[in-house]
This record gives sequence, structure tokens and C-alpha cells, in this order.
Amino acid sequence: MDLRSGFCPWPSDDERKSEVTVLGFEIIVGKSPSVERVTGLTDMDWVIVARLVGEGPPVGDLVNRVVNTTSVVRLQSKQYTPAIGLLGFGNCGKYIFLLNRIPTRKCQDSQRRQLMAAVVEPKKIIIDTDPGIDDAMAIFVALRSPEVEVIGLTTIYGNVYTTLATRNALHLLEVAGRTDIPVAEGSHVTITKGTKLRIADFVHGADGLGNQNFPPPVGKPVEQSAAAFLVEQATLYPGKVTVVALGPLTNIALAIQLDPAFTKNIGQIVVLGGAFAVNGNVNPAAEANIFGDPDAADIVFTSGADVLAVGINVTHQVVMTDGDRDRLASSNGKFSQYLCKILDLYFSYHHDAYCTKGVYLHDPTALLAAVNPSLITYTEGVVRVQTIGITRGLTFGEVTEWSDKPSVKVAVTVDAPAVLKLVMERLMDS
Amino acid sequence: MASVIANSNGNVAAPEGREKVIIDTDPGIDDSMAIFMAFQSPQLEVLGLTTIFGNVSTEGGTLNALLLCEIAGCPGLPVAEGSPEPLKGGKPQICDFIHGSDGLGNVFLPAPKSKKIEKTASEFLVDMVSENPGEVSILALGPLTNLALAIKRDSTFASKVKRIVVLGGSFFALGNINPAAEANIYGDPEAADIVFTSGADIVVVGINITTQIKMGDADLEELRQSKGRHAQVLSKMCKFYRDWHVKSDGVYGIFPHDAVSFVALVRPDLFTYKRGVVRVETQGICLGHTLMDQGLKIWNSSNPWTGYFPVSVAWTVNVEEVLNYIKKVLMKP
Repeated sequence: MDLRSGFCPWPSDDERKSEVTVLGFEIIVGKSPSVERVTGLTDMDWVIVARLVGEGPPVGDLVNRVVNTTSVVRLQSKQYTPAIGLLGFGNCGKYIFLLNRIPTRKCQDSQRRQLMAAVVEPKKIIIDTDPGIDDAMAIFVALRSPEVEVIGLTTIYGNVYTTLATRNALHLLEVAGRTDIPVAEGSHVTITKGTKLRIADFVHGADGLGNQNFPPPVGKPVEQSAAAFLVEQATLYPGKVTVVALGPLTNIALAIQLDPAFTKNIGQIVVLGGAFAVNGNVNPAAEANIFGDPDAADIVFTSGADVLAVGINVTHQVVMTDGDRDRLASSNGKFSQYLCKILDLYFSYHHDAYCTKGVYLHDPTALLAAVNPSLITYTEGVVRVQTIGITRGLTFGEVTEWSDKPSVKVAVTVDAPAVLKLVMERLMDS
Repeated sequence: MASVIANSNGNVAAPEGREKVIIDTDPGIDDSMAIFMAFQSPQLEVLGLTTIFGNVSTEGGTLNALLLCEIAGCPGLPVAEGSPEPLKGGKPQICDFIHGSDGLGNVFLPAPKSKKIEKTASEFLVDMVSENPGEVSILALGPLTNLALAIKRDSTFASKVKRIVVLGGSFFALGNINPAAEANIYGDPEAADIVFTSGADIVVVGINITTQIKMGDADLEELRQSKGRHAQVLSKMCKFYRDWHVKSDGVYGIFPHDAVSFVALVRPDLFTYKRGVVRVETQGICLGHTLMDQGLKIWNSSNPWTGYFPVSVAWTVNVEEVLNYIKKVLMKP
């Protein structure tokens, strides 16, 4: 199609079906007879057209967003992946248009709007976190990701105790200048009220942030507990909130227990946890986050929610080398400067424990798997967690049936160079 | 007698000379294959068979072992009956749906004329190993109860046995009893944990290895058509076993698990190995799960794997050569 010929695919008012404004683009879904004529679309296809409002951001941003966001929307028990069938895009002056195959006959207008929203609205995410050096990286990457809108942080023990996790979460948001994002404090004990917690201060430092002894935060957590906050947000935006769980799964399990509808209301739970068909990192059987609360993990994995588990079998493929850290250090990015201060301890731990010259990007990988699912591939099956014995915390997945438990998704491969590139870009450009 | 040395890569050097072997077995169709292969191997001196539950009851296993010795023309070979139940007690689960109610594919051969020896399996194992320190290898094809009892009976057993080749476990792969566990280890997890942590020179061949080798229908037909000394009786037995593979796994043929682990005993060069401590879970939903510490990380604190001797876990297998070897031995007149 000729984009310079003055042809403009902006549909007339009666052709518009839904509108949102995002990233400085006014986006509508509509059907333009002229587009049909030019592209040979049928009336099964609809077009997303984005019109730049004012100066707006670079056109590429939106295009990348739509191409990369393969959000899945559940409609009438069927699943559609609206952005996968991207046919092409072009821009003529102030407009870009994205041609998408979206099933139109099968769904109502309201449902179509839902489909559209899934394509163009930033994904709402809540990060459940125990910061943590790689948690800090993940939080910063999330704040620099236009594909997502961080609507809250909830805190948990793991790398540090929960009280300190809350303090660090508030501190990191203050560093980022994002004190508008609420922090809800999570559980101080396991789902079985266990108080003997394993705290990885030897990885992250006594303060959780590389022993830098930052001043205490000014802000305070919200009154709500993490579980109550999770339930509230999931209820407020049913199907639209993704939880990225970067620590033991106590808060998520508590949310499931608090509200039976939580598993349906929550969009997706992306879990950093487990060691699928590899040794663990706490001991040969167990990965740290699952080991932190195996009972909670088993509740989450068998809850029926849309769960994606990203285990260390995947995150160990994403390594930030000494050289990458030097590149971070040489950039003027606010986040990269901050992180370079706290990364020393994390690097020296990896050097001693794994004899590697680099660190595993566990939390940023899980976060980016939530931001852009096309960075990983996954398989589906029942996952159970061993809760007793010498293999306590062992995650075990089965591709067929183990029992009548619901299936979850388990990440199998990751585009490691792409993940590293995104982490570097977003931290350096901050 | 050449000693078997595992080098730093975990590769086990091939043995030379006539090796003394005891086969601990629950025959069993693929057990029968391995046993016949042993009898067809002049480089081996089979000292006896010890029996265990698994594919059949221990009692049934003893009858079958006696029968197999008679068929192979070694009616006087000692057969020592093992424990009827796992260490923790209780009635063992028997896989008659895989091997038939007689354990030999429902061919219902006449009862053996010979009798088992007086000694129990663990007594026989301890005595043989004590009389020939450093010279007796054990091929363990079923649950490891008898070996654990031998280790409990004689604290020097583990150091005196030359090598134990275990068919069992599933390493970083799914089991065959349930996702977590393989049948032999699941049959007596406590015993398996005792054996793996005993300090003996152990090679473990898991089903992650044995299921890579398939004797397809064409291979089975080739065996049936051959002049192999025991080809006819094996072909009859295999029918039931093969039909179960079709039904259960959609495999038109059989997995010769026990025969593969026999090859690991006589041709260790056809496998590669990794060394690491192996423990067995004895509780919970992962009961019977075998878990190896690959040694990829320096642990921050001690854990249940800390301080035990490593064993050799078969890591890769030369599929073509192992299958050829099995066929060659079984088709030998």
C-alpha cells in the first residue's frame, strides 16, 4: 500500500468501535473501507488505527508494544491472542495504523473492546517482592517498561525479612521518584505460620541492597495487607492484573484463601520459582523461593489460576557479565548508577558460589516474561511441590496427568540475549 | 582382575578378565533377557541369582530364577531368595500387568525341578563378597532391599563389593510409576537411599537412559527368526510385554531396561557418566524420587546431600551400539 499518496485510513465516526489514549496515541479500532480495498482484508478483520496526539512519542514505541504484547484474553471460555496476527503497519504523517486480525463475528462489541484493550492498554502489574538486589533491578526495569503499569508493590520475606523488604520497596520507589505507587506489606510468616525463615542475606547483604546502608524511606506502606491489596486490585480490574511474584508465594496463597474468586479475577501470576529438571539453588532439590514456603507454592500451583512459572532452569541462562556491568556503570542512567553501587556483593557471591564471572538475572527475567511473553516458550502441565522430606521444595512438573489438578505454564526456553538487551537498555536509558 | 576406575569425567574403564557377578533380580521379562545375556557372556562368572519382589512376588521371582537357570543349562547355580517385602514392611506392589501373572509374559512354563539354597539373598551376597573381596560385581535389577540388608548385615560389604550396577531411578526426567518415581526405587525407597549413600562403587542406570533404547517390532522379529540360544523362549515371553508397551506408551516394541543395565556392566564404555551424591526421597508426593547433586554450586550450608560418597550416574548412552550389543548376544547360538 502506498502510504505517501495521501490515503488516510482514519475511520469515520460511525466506524469507530472503541477508543483509548495510550502513549500519546489516540487509538481506535474501526474498519475503513479504504483499508479493506487496499489490503484485501475481509469483514472478519478489524484495524487498529493510532493517531498521534500532539508531538507524542516515536511511532516505533507503539508498534513494538503491539507486536510484543501477546496478551491472551479469555472470552466465553475461548482464548484469543489478538496481537499475534499482526499483518503490517505503516505511517503516514501523523497516523500509524496496525492491521490486526481480530475475530469480530464471534464476539460482541463489549468483548471486542476487551480484546482491543488487551492489545493497547498497558498491562497492570503488581510486583510481589523481597528486595533484594535482582528485585531492585526488576522493579526498575518494570518502571521503565511502557508495556506495563506498575500499580503496586507487595512485600515478602526471602532475600530479607518482610519488614526490611517493605522498607526497601519504599526506598526503591523513592529513588525512582515513583512514590505514587502503593506498597502493601505482606506476611511475616509462612502459610503454615512458620517463623523459621531462610533469609538470603549472604547473597544480598544484611540490608538486602548490597550493604549500602541507604537512609530510611520517608514513605509508609498502605494500611492494607499484601493479600488484601492483591484481592482488591484483582476485583477492581478483573482479568487485567498480572502479579509478578519474585519471592516465596505466601502472599499469593493468602490472597487465594482470602477470596475464592481471586484465581478467576487475577489475570496471570508469573512466578519466579522452581527448578524444573535441574538442581535447585538452596540445595540439590529446591529453589530458594519455593523452598521459602513450599506449602504456599503448592496452593498457588494447584489453584487453577493462570500461572506461569519461570524456574532457575530458565533464569540461569540469563547472565549479566562483568563487562555488562561496566557498560551499566559507564552510562548516565539514574537506575544504572544506583544499581552499580549495590551489585558488587551480588557479583562476588556468584563468583564464589558458582565460579562464574557474571550474575543470574532471575527477577528481571521473570518480570520481562510478564511484560513480553514472546521472550520465553513454555509447556503446560500439572506442577506439584514436595512439602516434606529431604526434597522439600522440589517442584515437579508433568506434561500429562498426575492427578486431577489444574495445569500451569512452565517456562522452557528464554531468548536470553533479548532479555539481557532489554534490561541493559531500560536501565541505561533512565 | 582389573579394577574399575572412574576417572575425573566419571567415565568407567572397561573391565578385563572373567568377572564374578551376582544378579539381584525380580524376573521379569526384561530380567530374563539380562540373565540369558549373562549366561551367554563367557567373560562373566555368574556366582548366583538373588531374588526380590517387583515384577513378581519374591517367591514367584525365585521360581522364575530357578527356571531360567534350568533353561540356560545351569540347573545347579545358586538361587537365594530375598526379602518378601520392603524394609519398612507391607505388601509390595507387583507389576503383573506388565509381566503377566507368572512374571514371564503368561507363558506358564512347567515348575522348576531345582530348589533355592538355604541362605537368604542378603546372606548369600555378604558371604560371596566376603569370600572374594574386591572381585564381585552385583547387577541389581529390582528394588534394592536385599542389597540394603547386606549392607546392614555387614558394615564392610560396601567396601568389599567390587561394583554395583543399579537399574533404577530417573534423573532429571519423569518416572514410570508417577511423575516423580521410577518403579524399582519406588519399590523400596529406604533401601535405595541406604545403597546409594553406602559408599560402594555404584553405577546407576536410570530410565532416562534405558528408555532411549527401543527394541522395535522389527528387532523382535529378527530375534524370533534367529538361531539365538534362548531366542524362542524370549520371543514368546516378549509378546505380552510388547503389547503392554503399545497400550501404555504407544511404543511398537519394548524397552529392554534390564538388558541395557547389563550392557552397562560389561560394556561401560558405551555410556558416559556424571558423578554426584544421589539421595532418595522417602516421604510425601515425591516418594521414591532419585535426586542427584550435580555439584554445580558450592552450597552455603550443609544439606541432606552433604558428606556422602558420589556415585556414577549414567548420563548418555550410545543407543545404536547398545542395541546392537543386546541383539548380538541374544542372537548368539
